[in-house]
Amino acid sequence: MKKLEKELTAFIEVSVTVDLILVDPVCDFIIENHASGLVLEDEQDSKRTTIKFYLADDATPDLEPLAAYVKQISPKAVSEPPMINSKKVTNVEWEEQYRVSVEPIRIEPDIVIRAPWHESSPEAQYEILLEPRMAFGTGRHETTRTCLKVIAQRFRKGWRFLDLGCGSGILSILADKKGAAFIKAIDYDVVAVDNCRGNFRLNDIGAPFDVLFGSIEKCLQDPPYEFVCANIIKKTILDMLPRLESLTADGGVLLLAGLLQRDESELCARLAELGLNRFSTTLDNEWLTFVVEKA
Amino acid sequence: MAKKIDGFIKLQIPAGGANPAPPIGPALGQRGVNIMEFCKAFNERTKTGGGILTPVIITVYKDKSFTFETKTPPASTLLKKAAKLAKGSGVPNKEKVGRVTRAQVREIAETKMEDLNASSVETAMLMVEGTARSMGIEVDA
Repeated sequence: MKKLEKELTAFIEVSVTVDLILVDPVCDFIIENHASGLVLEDEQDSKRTTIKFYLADDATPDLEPLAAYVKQISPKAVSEPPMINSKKVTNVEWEEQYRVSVEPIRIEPDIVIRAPWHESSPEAQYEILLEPRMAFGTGRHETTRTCLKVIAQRFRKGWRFLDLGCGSGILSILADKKGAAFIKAIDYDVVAVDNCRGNFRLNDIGAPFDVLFGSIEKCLQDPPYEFVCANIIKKTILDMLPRLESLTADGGVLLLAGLLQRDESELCARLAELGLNRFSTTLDNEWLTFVVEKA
Repeated sequence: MAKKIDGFIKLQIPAGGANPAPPIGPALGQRGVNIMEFCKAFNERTKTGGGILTPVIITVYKDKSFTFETKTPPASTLLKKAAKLAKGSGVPNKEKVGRVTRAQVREIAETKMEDLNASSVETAMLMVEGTARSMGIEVDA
């Protein structure tokens, strides 16, 4: 966490404003010489675009070659001369901007997700408090939404819950509210692990739990779980699938999310190879979720 | 009822390579979009792109949800690929670094047609040729 914060504390934001016809080559010059990605902001009512890119704060950027390049390729007829500006920005600014903009989310009538400062929703059966950080799992993404619905419907009191790719911990928190006997939440993103621990405290998690940095290796010695949730990405799910199957108790549920509709046939084939033939799928936009029942 | 649009964010980032660092962090953070949710969705959708620079337009709605659309790679990227170049020229007026044929320019223009504000392939070709000149890439007559 400390390391990440140090790495992302401050940046120099460089803005280059040029006529539309110059955007493509100037972007290319920036990508080749300064940054791996950039933002484009079209100016309203003009044919000019501002290209923004970011440099480490400790860098001493030499923007002279960029300025010379832009000047060289600018036709004399361009509407206004190109402009290059730079300023220091900090990580906190955009994290804070995101934080203050978060609003409560309702997933079906019974589940409300809100930040600690939002008004309580006592009518909701399950109210999940989340401190908005940069971790995945706000309740807004299709995969999170579907997983929450499945957990609300299928999770049984007294079950043990394994949450791989836990992000903010949102799914584990719902499992706790449904009466989980034990929760293990794992993520390889340090921000997510930190955020998950904080959110567990916020929600006063009643079940014994472990929140760990890492991946599936952190639970391979565990007894099987009645409910295993892997809301990750296809490649990781495919790599883990035999171990996920082993970690799911007989009669338990394996929830696989983070897959796209185009992945359906491949996943079906892999599940069949493992003898997992009882499953249903839910599609929310392009995102496909598998609810696998282990016999 | 259609959701109300709050605004658009235009980025160019490597396929499969979105992460919370700049430029994505500040661009999405200031619009109230959860950065990790975009990164996950973008990386999953573009994972077969081999890291090629990918323009993406994110539509942000009033409720802070978002959708996004990926576009064809920039003409500059396609030109370098066609000319088998790693880099364009930093001083295109003086230093020419490669050549492409008219047929290659047409192919790039056709690929880019849906994303360019061009009324015909010929107009799109002129735009691609302009980009080529700005990169020190000559177009065969």
